Amino acid sequence: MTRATSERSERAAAAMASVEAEILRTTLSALAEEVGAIVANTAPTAEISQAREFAVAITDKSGAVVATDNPMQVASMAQTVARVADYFEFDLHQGDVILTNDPYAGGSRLHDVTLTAPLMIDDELLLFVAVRMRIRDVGGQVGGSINPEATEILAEGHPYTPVKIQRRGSPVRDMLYFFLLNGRHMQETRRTLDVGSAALALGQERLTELVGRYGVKVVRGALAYAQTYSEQLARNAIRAWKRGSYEGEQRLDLDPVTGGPVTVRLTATVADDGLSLDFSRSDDQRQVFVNCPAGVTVSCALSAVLAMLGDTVPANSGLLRAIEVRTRPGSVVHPTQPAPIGWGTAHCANEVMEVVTTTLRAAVARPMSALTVPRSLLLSRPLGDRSDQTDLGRWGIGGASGLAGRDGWGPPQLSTRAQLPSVEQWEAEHAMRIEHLELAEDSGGSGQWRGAPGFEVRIALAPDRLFTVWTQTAGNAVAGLAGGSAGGTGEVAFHTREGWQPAPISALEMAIHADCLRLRFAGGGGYGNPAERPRQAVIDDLADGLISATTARHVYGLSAAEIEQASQHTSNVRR
Amino acid sequence: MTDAITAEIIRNYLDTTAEHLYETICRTSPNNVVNEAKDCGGGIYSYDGTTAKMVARAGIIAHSFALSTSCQAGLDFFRGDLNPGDAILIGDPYHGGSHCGCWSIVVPIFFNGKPRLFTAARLHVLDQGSPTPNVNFACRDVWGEGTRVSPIKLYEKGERRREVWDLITANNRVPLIVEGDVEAMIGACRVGERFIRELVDRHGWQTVESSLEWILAYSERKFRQRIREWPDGTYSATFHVDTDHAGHEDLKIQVAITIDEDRMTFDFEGTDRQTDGIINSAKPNTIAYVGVVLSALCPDIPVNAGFFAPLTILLPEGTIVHPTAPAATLAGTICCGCQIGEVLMKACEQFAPQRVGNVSIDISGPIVYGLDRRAHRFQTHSARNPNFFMFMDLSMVSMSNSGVHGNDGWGMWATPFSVARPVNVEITEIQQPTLYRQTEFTTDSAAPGQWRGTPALAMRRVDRGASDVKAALFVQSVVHSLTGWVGGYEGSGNIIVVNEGTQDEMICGEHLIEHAAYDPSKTIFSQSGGGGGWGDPLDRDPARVLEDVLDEYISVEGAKYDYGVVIDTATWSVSDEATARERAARKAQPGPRKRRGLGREWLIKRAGIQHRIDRHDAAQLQSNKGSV
Repeated sequence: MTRATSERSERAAAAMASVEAEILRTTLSALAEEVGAIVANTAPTAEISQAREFAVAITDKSGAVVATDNPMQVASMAQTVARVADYFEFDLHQGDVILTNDPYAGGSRLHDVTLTAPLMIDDELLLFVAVRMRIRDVGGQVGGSINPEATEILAEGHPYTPVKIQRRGSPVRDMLYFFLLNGRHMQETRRTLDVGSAALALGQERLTELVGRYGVKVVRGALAYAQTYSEQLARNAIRAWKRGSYEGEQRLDLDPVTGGPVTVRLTATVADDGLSLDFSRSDDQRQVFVNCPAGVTVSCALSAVLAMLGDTVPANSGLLRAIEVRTRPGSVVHPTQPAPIGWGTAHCANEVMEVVTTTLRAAVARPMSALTVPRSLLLSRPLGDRSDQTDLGRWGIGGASGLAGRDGWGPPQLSTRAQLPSVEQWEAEHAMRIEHLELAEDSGGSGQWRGAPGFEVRIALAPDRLFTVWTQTAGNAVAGLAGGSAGGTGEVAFHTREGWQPAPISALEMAIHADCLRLRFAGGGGYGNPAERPRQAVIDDLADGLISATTARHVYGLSAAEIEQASQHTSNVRR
Repeated sequence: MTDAITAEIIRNYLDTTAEHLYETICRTSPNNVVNEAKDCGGGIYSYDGTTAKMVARAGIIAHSFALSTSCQAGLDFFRGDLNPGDAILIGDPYHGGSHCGCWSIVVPIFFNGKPRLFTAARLHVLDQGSPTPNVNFACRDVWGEGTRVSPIKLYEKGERRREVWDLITANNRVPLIVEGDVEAMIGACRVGERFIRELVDRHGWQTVESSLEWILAYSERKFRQRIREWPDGTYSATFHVDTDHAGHEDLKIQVAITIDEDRMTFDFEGTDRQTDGIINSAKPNTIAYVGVVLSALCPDIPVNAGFFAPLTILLPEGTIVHPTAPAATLAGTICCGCQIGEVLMKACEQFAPQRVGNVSIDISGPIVYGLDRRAHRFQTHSARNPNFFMFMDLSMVSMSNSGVHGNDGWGMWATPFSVARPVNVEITEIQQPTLYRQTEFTTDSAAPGQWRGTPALAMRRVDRGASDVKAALFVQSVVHSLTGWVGGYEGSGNIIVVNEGTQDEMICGEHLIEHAAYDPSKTIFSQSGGGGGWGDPLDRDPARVLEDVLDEYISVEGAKYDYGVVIDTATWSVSDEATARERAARKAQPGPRKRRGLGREWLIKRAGIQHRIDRHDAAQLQSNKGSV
């Protein structure tokens, strides 16, 4: 063979290899989605099947995520699987399934339980498949394992360091039983775990087929390639950002009783081809359940950056090479034992995401609007059954903020994984009625591109119920951008004998004698000067009931005739 | 069957082995409630193919009885999957434990391929992974108690299951102590195993096995003889629990003991239904107390499963003596366990009055926790947080022994529990950031009787060297204090006062103190009342009363008020005539006598519980009228 020929065939081989790698990259991505679909379709709870509170990840043997169906959990899944890989490094076998929820090692909430299974080929570890699923309860003082009065994690529920529930294909009976016994819904949790195990088995089967078809070496190469791919795309995109160091902070206002405001601080550095996000100067952790686990912090920071990068970069651990996230153990965004974390995935996770978008606004071409809305905790149970906790907060649906070129539409950008709950299904399951479910007028912030409104929901409450609430941030508004105004605030109120009363800021299993609950999460912020919004768009907004006539006239400057035109349109539609 | 002499030798050997097991736990545990107070128990259990049976025991007897259920739970859960080298941990009250705070270790000992014997141990852990440190008064279901330990192997085939240990310690505030305690129990069980193997090596399994039969049959035979000595009939009693700390008060336990030749039936029908409070007694615990009472009535009969052979125990499901899941059993081992012991003895009083006395300890787990700021510390509970300390002060709950026929109350705890003892003051002051100002008996606090109960212990301390402290305290037997026997008066009751004598004073008596911050520079005061008296104090030998006055157990005023004994303080002798007159006058008074001593009245006032006493007295009056 001549030198030219061997070079050509090398190049051809390399080209072939990169084609194969690319095929495998997308196949792995599709596989994560397929496994995710299995989980959603077979899970016994609406929280998994509708709200899609789960994540599937395929990782390399160190735990780095290669493909996932839930981009928002990349970093936390990677941390969890890395912990599992390290803990059982010399004790992994085909057919093992490891369970953990540890929020101090990648976990998010105590009731998000991750099952991890190694794929061994010829007794050598190739990769992991992992499924994280929400279960209903892991013990603790309160059914549902979220406790606004928790000052330490054991008041919330039980943390699980990595333990095997299956070993070489056989269940580890005593460990599995122990786990099930320490939650208030043994049967349902058991079925959820079965779903997870089945999903893992399916994933392993598919992956074994891939190995059979392509060989171990090629598949291993693809695991690395997929990460490099995302890394490169991220670096390319960041190269276009403005170099420099940027500082920002987001404050979560807490009652003096819980220690006063807590602040998340960020120093973002845009370098030649990478980004560093340093949260080290954030406040210390608190004895209240708003500490955001480290894995969630990194996940949220990445999610915010991904939103800024647009839809184009596949989410996996490759991002973490281009985007370095630093946190300080013992801080509110990297809590250590025994800090409580029950609401951390809402607050301070929201604060983490918003501080990234606000801090990097100056660095990016198109500034990103708010990605979240403030979230209130709202649980309720009947007097007689501590286990039967209903999440009324599921009906808190806020509005997406307007972006340059686009009105906000639907829920906030990073909350769109969940399907909107079905009223009929919910009513059937909970014996309570949704009296009113409408977009809240004037809830979307005004702007050239307006924010989306939040939903206003009224729920008829059954009598004799106890409520666990945390509404510290309910009344906060989402700011507008570039001249747009803030969205409408949220509200949580109970209709009692004395009329509508705001919900307490924090309550644990409190008897509130109310016949109706009114719940509204914040609307999205507006973008740009309202004066520049096309008049027809404003008329349409008015006709659709998204804005009031007052707003149409005083904020957008519609004339009386235009307002009349809109109401005509509305009555036409109604007829 | 083997001969009686060999069987007796083997029985004594097994008893000694059990003692070794118990001592090993005490000497290897890092927890001063175990290594100083010796609050733990163990035993040896045989397995006949279906049932685990207690053969020998040592330590806290209630633990030993309840461990039979733990061994059974281990067998039932792992049946077919037990191996040499296994060590099983059990805690959950609905899976072989008594409440989530007491952890048991069960070790199977194999001969010829089967686990023929078990060594087992139990102790109450310093932290049970509960929502609040050490104890969670707010628990309203069993999950709120803490970690529910279903049978799980800590060692499997001799291998330490690292992941199980890491999980347990991740769920614990004092991981070093808890891990040490559990390893101490496992080590003790293995010491027991070694002794048992030596025994079997010496005698052969056949001989040992038939000796076990003999041992159990011996106790059964002796006990049946004893039952025959007691008059046939049905004997009923009721007793009340102060509160379940979840809104219910004066909960009733009722028992009817029927003696029919050589059989006994215990029927708890009429007992109040279970509540979502903290005092439900899990079934194994209730049954353990039946064993405790009977073994106290028959101190000459070796304690083993033979006792239970002639017994039928009827526990209605869903009551505070036999709760169903997921009822909380947080305090059950001591409250309402204590009251179960009392109601049983009260029934026994009717057929064996000269054998009765208090067999219950009215303890609780009075704990404070926080940070130990002393320059020199001698104990680390948690590597995670080296300054963190938890201090359970057993001197606050140390007295419960009653008078018995022929003897005044002696020592501290009721006899079946007196293998344990409160922690030495000096050691406590080294290990914990505290300084005792007082631990002494108080005058006029012993329950009056022909033979009096033990005096109360008053304790005052200051938690010097501690900061950021909180107190989690509850006491029991305040309203319904430890009962008197055969006309003896009730015990004075218990109280704890935090920040004593200041504006921020907090009283723990009727109500608990639930994880409340306090000032470590202020005094904590407690009084632990002793058990009841036996027999009418007006019949107590006046010479003994005089001795008590000279020893300062009773004051001159108390001698007259409680005992009708008049003392001449000029000569320090009894005025016989005045005494006889006083006593005759008192006995001649019409109507029921108030059976409350001076010390009891003091506590009722200090604890502010007169309204509860009045309410209960009225209720008693009503029910007495009804039964006439």
